[in-house]
Amino acid sequence: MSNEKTQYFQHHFVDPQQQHEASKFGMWAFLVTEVLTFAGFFCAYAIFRVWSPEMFINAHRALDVVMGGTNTVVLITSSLTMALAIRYIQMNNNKAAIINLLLTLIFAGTFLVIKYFEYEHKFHCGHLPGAFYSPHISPDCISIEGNNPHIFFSIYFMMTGLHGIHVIAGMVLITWLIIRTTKGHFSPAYYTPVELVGLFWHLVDLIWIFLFPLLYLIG
Amino acid sequence: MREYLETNYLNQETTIKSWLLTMDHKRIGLMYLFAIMFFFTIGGCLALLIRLELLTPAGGDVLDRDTYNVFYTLHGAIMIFMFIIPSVPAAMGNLILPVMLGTKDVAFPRLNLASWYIYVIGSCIGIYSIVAGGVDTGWTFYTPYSSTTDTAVISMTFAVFVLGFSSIFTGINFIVTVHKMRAPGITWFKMPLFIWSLYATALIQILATPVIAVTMLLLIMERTFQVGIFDPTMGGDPVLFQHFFWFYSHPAVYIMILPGMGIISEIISTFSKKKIFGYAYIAASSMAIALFGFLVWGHHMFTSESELAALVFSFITYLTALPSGVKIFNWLATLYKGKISFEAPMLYAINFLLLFAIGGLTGIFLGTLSVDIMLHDTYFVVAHFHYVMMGGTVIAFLGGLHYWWPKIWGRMYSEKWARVSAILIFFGFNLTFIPQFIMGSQGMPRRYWQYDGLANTELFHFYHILSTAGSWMIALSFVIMLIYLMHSIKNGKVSGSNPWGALTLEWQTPSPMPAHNFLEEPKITHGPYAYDEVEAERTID
Amino acid sequence: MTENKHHIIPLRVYIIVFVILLSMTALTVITAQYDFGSFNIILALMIASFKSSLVLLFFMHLYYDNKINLIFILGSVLFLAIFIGITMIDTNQRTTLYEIRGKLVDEQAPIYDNPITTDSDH
Repeated sequence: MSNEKTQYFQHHFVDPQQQHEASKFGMWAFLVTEVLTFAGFFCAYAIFRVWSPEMFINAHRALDVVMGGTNTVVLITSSLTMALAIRYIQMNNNKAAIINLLLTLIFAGTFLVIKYFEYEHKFHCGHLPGAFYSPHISPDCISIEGNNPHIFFSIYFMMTGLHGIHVIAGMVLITWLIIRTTKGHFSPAYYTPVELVGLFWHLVDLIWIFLFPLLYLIG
Repeated sequence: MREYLETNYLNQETTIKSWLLTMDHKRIGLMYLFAIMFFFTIGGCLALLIRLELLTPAGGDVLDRDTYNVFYTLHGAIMIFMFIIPSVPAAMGNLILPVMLGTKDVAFPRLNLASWYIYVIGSCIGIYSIVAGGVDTGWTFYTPYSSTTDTAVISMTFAVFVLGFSSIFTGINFIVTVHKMRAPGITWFKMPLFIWSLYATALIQILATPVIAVTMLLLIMERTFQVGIFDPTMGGDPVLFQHFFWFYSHPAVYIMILPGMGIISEIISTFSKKKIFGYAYIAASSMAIALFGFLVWGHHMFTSESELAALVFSFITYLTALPSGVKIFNWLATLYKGKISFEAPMLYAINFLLLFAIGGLTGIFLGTLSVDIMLHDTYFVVAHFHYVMMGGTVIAFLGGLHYWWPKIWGRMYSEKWARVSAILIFFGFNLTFIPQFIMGSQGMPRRYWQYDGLANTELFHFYHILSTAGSWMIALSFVIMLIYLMHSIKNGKVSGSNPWGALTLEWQTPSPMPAHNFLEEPKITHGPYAYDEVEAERTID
Repeated sequence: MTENKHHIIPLRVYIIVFVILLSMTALTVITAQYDFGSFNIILALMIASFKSSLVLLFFMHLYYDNKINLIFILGSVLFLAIFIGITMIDTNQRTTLYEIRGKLVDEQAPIYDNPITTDSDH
């Protein structure tokens, strides 16, 4: 038990407890920066939505609520499995932890796959950001009334795009965790990296919890 | 102790690898110090060339019009992002903060090293941008010009994006270090005020910097994919860019000044041998300035935003003067009846008091809506921000550099030449920028390459000549400084651990500092400014 | 100074929170089908905030942690609100200057280089 503790103990700290608390606090400070990063996009969203409320309502109908809703459930479930993975390491059950980490990874991948289909449909219909907006009207592509719908899609693609990049980053980190857990690096005495990646992953979920109603459920 | 510590952080390990992969905050701080001085020199040379061009009203003596635009943009961008933002926190903060707190290193040494390398990468991208022809939008990158001009905007904005992460990581490190790693006995209200200022700065760093990252990202999107959110022909809003940009860039100026103010608190107390007056109020004012700093960004946009917003921002800008005033009066009260000695650091502190006061007060002029309509985009603004950024931060930085120089190198510089340089900077600086206040109030616009054919051209010409002469005085003082500082590294008089007789923890350890900061566990027996209780012996005569 | 050392959250807490999160997701989708006017967005944000609070407090352990972590994340939300709020004070006021707001963009704009196509065009 104390072996794992001392193996990862960094000597500028007084004890492993201080190191653990400091690491967690550092991660929270980093999450603060993530909130403020997305704040910029939420600000742009808010302003353009207030300026063109009808256009937003019309344009958002090009989004598929079923796919968006499914993705929401997928991410929430992935948050659960991530939290459970930490719990199982705390209880010294490495196997269950790995299973939950793998499940988290699978759910994350599912999210991206669904996202891919959503994006593909947007490309097919020409519902693209800014100067690339070239609407194609057909039975499966709605026509959007209102002024400057390309703005909605600019915001949609930038926000979900940045979020998607964070999902990918999360998947890389979770894969790293799976490798390390398999090698037995973590134990109830030391599992800080799992906790920190968990915090990051929950943030990804939190962002989506707000993105979903703001983009998919407008009136 | 009076001796030079033979095995110290500089020579404990001497391989290149031990420097490139160092996790020692002191080595990282030193590398930052050299890097920022390098960029200061580049930014300074750009300024000298700009001032040379402005010697005559006609354009084209030294620089053609497009090059002139590139030069003032690069001067601003380099000075702000590559020099002044990292200057006090990353260089002096890294060198001194852990030692002042009695701890062995910052909370996350590897993150600290990452912060340094991200700074290097960001700066290299910036250099690439310069080599690719630079940018001509002004350091403020306003749209729609910045989204359409064909200069190297994307690489420069990407450089800013990357440099932002360096700043964020430093901020995270300092916040956690201050919260979690103070030595036993150093409570929040027994920390030196330099730490309080770095802490407040770090809070700003993590809250504001992400927004400039997003802003730069959006500008890159605008240029590459024409998303249209800042383009009025696409239904976007160019003033939105200004909101985004200034939400970071105003708090950024507090990132610049707060650590400088922290240094001034240290210097004034040490060189008056007197307990700092109103410690808790100075600490609280740092936090207040950090908070208020987030509420006033629209005062850069008085001429482009709505009247209601302008009113709100103007009012809060006035309030922001209050905590700064608290500091100034507390410093003066500390000086009153102190045992004042006028060594170089103190000369810089007094420089600061005078120059920052002028800078701050002229900010009030600019914060007044009706006056700002006339002064916006004139040399009055240029003079104002140079007074606070250079007369404030740079002077405070130089004060800190001279104050902690013996701690960093174990040797003293030539006091005589340091005084010459400090006095020369004071006169040179005022000669450069007071004419700019006058010119600005008479209508001389900023960012103009030529100023002939205006009603006041003769008047402006006279003041521009004074200003350029002043810039040469500043340059001379820096050349002198470079010489005596470099000379002192190997040849200066040995300083011992405490040449100033100061009471904060960094002076209780030998100079140059040991690799792990202290040779024995530091014992906290008194507060950082307890000159009324304790007398610390100076280790030089 | 140190709080709960490696506190393990009971499984039932995780499951209950998970079920509530799913229910709230269903609730927000359902309520979006009805028109409450401008209250729709407020309701949606309230539900999202409630869901976020659950994730923050339980999945992310803030309920059991040192309170400083909670203070920091709440602080970030405060500054997000300041940023959006004050910017909107300005953008909502710029009516007379910006009468093009919400109007059709300039006919010369790049987006009009892209023609609208339909299935019968192929």
